[in-house]
Amino acid sequence: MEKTRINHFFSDQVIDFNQSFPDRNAVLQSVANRLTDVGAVKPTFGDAIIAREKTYPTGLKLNDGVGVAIPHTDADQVLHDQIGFVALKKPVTFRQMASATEVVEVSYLFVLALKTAHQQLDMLQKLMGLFSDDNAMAAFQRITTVASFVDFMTERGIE
Amino acid sequence: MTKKLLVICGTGVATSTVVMGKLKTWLEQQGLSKNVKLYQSKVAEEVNHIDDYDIVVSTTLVPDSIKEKVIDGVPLLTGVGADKVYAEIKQDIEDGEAAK
Repeated sequence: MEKTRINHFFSDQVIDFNQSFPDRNAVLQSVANRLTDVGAVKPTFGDAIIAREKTYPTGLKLNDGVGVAIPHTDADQVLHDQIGFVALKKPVTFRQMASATEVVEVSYLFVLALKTAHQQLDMLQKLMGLFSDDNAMAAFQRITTVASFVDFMTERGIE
Repeated sequence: MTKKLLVICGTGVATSTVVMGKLKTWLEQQGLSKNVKLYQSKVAEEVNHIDDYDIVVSTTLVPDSIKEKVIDGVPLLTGVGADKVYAEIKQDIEDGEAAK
């Protein structure tokens, strides 16, 4: 059996590859359920991020055209820090952050369950740094296993 | 004159935190730290106080009523088009300085 790897933000229980979902809400609810199962969030977290995504979309289209999303909501829905990750087999449509009309075909979701975001500037900056680094994103897109995902994040200081 | 620069996002935690960090570093590099005071909040709390600030950067959609005043801060997150945003902010910081 593969060794369990964790860092402060990622748990192998909430990292998934090659997943298929019919739409945005289905994938959001699925990650929320996983985060609830590991005790990271309240059961209402799923409804909260689905509602939040409608008002404040979090899709980001990166340089090379790949789409990521960073759904999140208020800290009162969160019990402890955790980032849920899903790589999608087929992208789902999100709206672009800060746009009323633009959409992004999202292949990677980082669902941020953050208890104290103000103290996590370093991690958030490194995560965004990854998104804006074309070479790193190319390497990132070749990852297919939980273990190499956690190693990759840890090496980049996203831990 | 010190300019008041507000950074807003939907929750006032995640993305505005990142933009705050980026702007802080950038202001230091530009030698403009003393010219600007940074504030961070969520959009819902600031809609009616927007005129209290000289410059507003948002990573989220804002109501039409304040749209004119707001600079889209998303490029600062992704790096795509960030230079343009920095240039716009710099212009706003320097605006009025000459007239002083």
